[in-house]
Amino acid sequence: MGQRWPPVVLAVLLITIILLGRAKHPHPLPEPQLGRARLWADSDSCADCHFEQTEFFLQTGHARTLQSASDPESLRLLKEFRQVASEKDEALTIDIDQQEIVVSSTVGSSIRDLELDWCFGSGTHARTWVGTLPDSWGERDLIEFRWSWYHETDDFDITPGQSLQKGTGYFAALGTLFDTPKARRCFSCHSTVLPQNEGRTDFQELHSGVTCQRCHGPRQAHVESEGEIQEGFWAAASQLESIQRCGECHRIAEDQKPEEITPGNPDIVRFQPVGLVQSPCFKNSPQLTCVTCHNPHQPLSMQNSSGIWQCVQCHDPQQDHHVLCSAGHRDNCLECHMPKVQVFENIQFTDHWIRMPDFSSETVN
Amino acid sequence: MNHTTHRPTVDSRKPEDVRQRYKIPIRWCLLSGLVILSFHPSLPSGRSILMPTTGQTILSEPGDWHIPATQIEWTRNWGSIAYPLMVCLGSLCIGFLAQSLAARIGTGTAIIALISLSYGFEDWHMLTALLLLALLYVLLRARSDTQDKFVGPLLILIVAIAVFTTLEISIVCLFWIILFIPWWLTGDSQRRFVQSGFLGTVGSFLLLFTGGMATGLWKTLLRPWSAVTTPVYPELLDSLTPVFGSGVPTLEHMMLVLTLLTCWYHAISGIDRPLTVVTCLFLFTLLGLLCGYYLWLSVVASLLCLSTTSSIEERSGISIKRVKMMRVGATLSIAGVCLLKLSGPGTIVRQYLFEGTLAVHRIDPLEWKSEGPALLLDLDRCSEWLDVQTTEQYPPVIDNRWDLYGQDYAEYAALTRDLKEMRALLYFRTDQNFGGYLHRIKDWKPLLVVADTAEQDAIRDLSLSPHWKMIGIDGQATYFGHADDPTFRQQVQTAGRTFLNLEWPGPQTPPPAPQVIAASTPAEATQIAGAMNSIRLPYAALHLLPVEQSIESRKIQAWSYLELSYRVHRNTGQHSLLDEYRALTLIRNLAAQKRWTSRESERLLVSLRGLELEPVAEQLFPSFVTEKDFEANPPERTDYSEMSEEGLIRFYLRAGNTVAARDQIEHLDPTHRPFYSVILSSLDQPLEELAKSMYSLVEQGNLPLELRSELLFYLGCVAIEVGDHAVAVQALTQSQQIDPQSGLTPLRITYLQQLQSQ
Repeated sequence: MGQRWPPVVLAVLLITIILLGRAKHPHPLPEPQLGRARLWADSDSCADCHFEQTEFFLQTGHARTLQSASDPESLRLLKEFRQVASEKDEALTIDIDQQEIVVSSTVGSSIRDLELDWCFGSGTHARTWVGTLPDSWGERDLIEFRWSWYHETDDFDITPGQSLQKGTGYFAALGTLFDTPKARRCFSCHSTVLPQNEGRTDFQELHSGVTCQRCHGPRQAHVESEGEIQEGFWAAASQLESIQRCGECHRIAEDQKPEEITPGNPDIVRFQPVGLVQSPCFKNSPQLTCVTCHNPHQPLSMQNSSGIWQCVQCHDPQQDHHVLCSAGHRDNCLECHMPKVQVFENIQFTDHWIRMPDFSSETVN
Repeated sequence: MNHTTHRPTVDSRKPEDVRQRYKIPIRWCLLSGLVILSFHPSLPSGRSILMPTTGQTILSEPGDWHIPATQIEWTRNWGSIAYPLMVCLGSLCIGFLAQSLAARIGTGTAIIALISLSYGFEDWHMLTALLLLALLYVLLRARSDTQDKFVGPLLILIVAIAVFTTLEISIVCLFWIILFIPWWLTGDSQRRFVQSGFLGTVGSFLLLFTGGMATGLWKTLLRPWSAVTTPVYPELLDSLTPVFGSGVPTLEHMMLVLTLLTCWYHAISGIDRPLTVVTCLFLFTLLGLLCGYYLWLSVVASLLCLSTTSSIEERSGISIKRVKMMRVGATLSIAGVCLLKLSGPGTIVRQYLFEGTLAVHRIDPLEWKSEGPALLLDLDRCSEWLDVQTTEQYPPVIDNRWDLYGQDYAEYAALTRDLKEMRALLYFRTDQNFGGYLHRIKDWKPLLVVADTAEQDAIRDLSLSPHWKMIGIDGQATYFGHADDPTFRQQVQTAGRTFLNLEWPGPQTPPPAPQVIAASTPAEATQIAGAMNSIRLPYAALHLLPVEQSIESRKIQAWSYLELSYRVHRNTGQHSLLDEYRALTLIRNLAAQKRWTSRESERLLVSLRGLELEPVAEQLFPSFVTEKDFEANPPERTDYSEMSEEGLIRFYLRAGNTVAARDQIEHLDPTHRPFYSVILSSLDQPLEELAKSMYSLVEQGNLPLELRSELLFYLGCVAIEVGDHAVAVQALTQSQQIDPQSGLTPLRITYLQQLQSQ
């Protein structure tokens, strides 16, 4: 070979390695959307253009589903509870000052404390408070307070899922411990941004409540481009994808064991998409999704989501070929076909498994 | 002044010289064997992979190519061979290469090559390396005897063996082309040989091409290409990452790169630069640097190619005597380092030869009598456990055959991340798709999840999963069985009992079940202890820690005491002086020696904050305190003036500040002093002695009631750590009786319940 090859060959080698090496750069994995702490627009900027959608949005259950425990509404309820706490549990006291809210339970001469950090629930059904507890790896477990406020009774009672009898552990008189993955799951359904840093939840950057960008994705590019960059998901979502998106928090059938999906199971009633996809209405109507009946931009109280206008689209007495109610009813469809079910002592849920009522089943009716 | 002498391009030495070369180079082989033994230790009964059984997965398709030898009954058992045999093969191969380099390039290059190849030895490339060596042998044979009619058949035989036994057929073919084509093109070979070799080459390649078209062999032939073009997911298959692709390369890689650079140096500095060498170096440097998986093999190929050249400069300024001295010096140094490494504390050799305390090597999943797919979280390490039998019983969902499954890696990596972070339910991802492992694994129905034992974060989260139960752990892998699978039920119970027995000693605690916990070396035991601590079983971790303390085992000890401190704090609202003092003292000592990695320091900073030790944490790890942290956790500096004398010593002890605590003891009430003295001495004496000291202090009866109750609690804790059931129960019961209203009550009751249930 000639004498001039070394620089040429080495240069070619180096360039090839750099080019191929760049192409082979480790690929980042797709992240949970709410875990990514970037590309989010200021949530107020949505209202600048989308007046109609945002006008009443802050009144929706979604927007109010997680608040700081020191939020005025939460504080008001806790102060009310403070007055009656000893009637519910004589060992229980609540201290509220400007910096922290601490619930305490006295056992013998020892006092067990729990600082309440967050208030879960919009108040449509209930509100439950939680405290977070650091663990040795820098993660946070969650203590769900033993007492919740219920809208139905406007009173405090034992939190759903907790035992009526107090346990003997340190926090047993105050609540139930949820480990880190469970705690992460609670927050991920009640917030819009939940950044993870080295596997740890960064609570300082948490955006509480399910707001615009939780469903529409990070919209920084959309805002910066003054609306030119549009969102892709909802425009292209299929019927099932649309329901799955809501099912992210309201659950989907695939998350359940097949044997659990039965009409008589009240637990399924809590998970509306699970029931909905079992419904003949869903199976026979390619367009039926959650947003057919619910407008997520408005509070339920402002919507006619329990009327019959949705039902008559396919079951219209004016149309000869439509299937009509065999009981001869022409209104109030939901009473029989989507009844309210008492899932917990103080909470009712609407059964979204739309079907012919089985009057022999006590659970459903 | 240096003079150089040049040899002709083509080796003109006589056949007897060449034959001389085939004598076993005992010195080089021994040296290489010593390095392999030192840095890749295993038990004599251990197995090394010769032919990987990869590719037979749940996702494999009928047309996929697998190594034929692993599919045939009578050859499949050669897929792995005894470790000593592998060391012999490896050292022979490297020894021959080093001798050849020493004879033709120089001793220095030979030593560099020997160290790097032996230090970075990769048993799964051994067969391919031997085939490359065989190709070189055929070339030398042909050069020395151009009338040799066996060259063609030999070449075909080598390719046939490559097809039959390895996946790296194209590396062998590439080497063949680089080595032979330019030589044939020179035209000075005999016509007969050229015909034979050419026909052999054409025939072989036609066969390969036809095979590629007819079967999935084509993808296998393109493995080197797909290795450099397949997207890399380091968390899944780090070996595919470019050598300089993710941070600082490993020492093995750096040494191999140094060897490559040495090759380039010789290629450039030689006056005559054969096309063969340049082409070979170019292609294999490209392959090796772009894909760490191939680096070792690339260095072998480059060195082999370099060893064929005769255009080498020799420095005449160095006397033979000096060269010999250099050789002896280098040999002695390498041997010395290896012997030191081999005889070091806790090595397999020392255990095996001197202590005779060899534990079970690995957990055998075949004993579980289950059958079903396995989900491997780390395809680099976890597939090591899959030999022929386990692959049949637990076929992996996917493995490290990027040539077959490269396009599935993105989704698989996202799935394993979901498993590691316990994201079971549906969630929306940044790529506009849905994540969550439950619905993704529905079609595969995996029975086993296999995690790398070093991946403590994944083990911690998986241990909290309702869907998977930890059923076994060894130095290589941690196994999680499907919670609902009835065939695992017995193993789940055995594992649960073993873990609880380790955490809470019974009156007659049996040794850990070997089919649940298996460690071969102290290093493995330390790693397993780390995993135990990660699943919040700190006493189990402390029980498993080896007696001989390494830096790693001291770290695990510190983490375990920290976990215990958290356990006490979370369950009583109080601080455990004993555990916090021991944890913080160890953390301080290791921080002073700069032993904590960045990741560990960051985690410790957050962890210590949770124990209300912000000032100490910030003092120990100041460079990790961010402005955001500072705003979120404004330093509430301790106001010492407001603290009582007793409060002050408690703070010093919790902070691991031994000197200040010792000084402070003098200011205490004399009846209180012995209590704090015994805490201060907790790391200076064996646990048994510490328990005795605590016991005698309790017996003296001079302590105030509260301190006595607290000391009895600590005595109970130390007794659990020692494994003394009776003393633990007695001490905790007494502590409870003396001060039943104490804040420690909930934890004391829990401890007593756990101990009494054993």
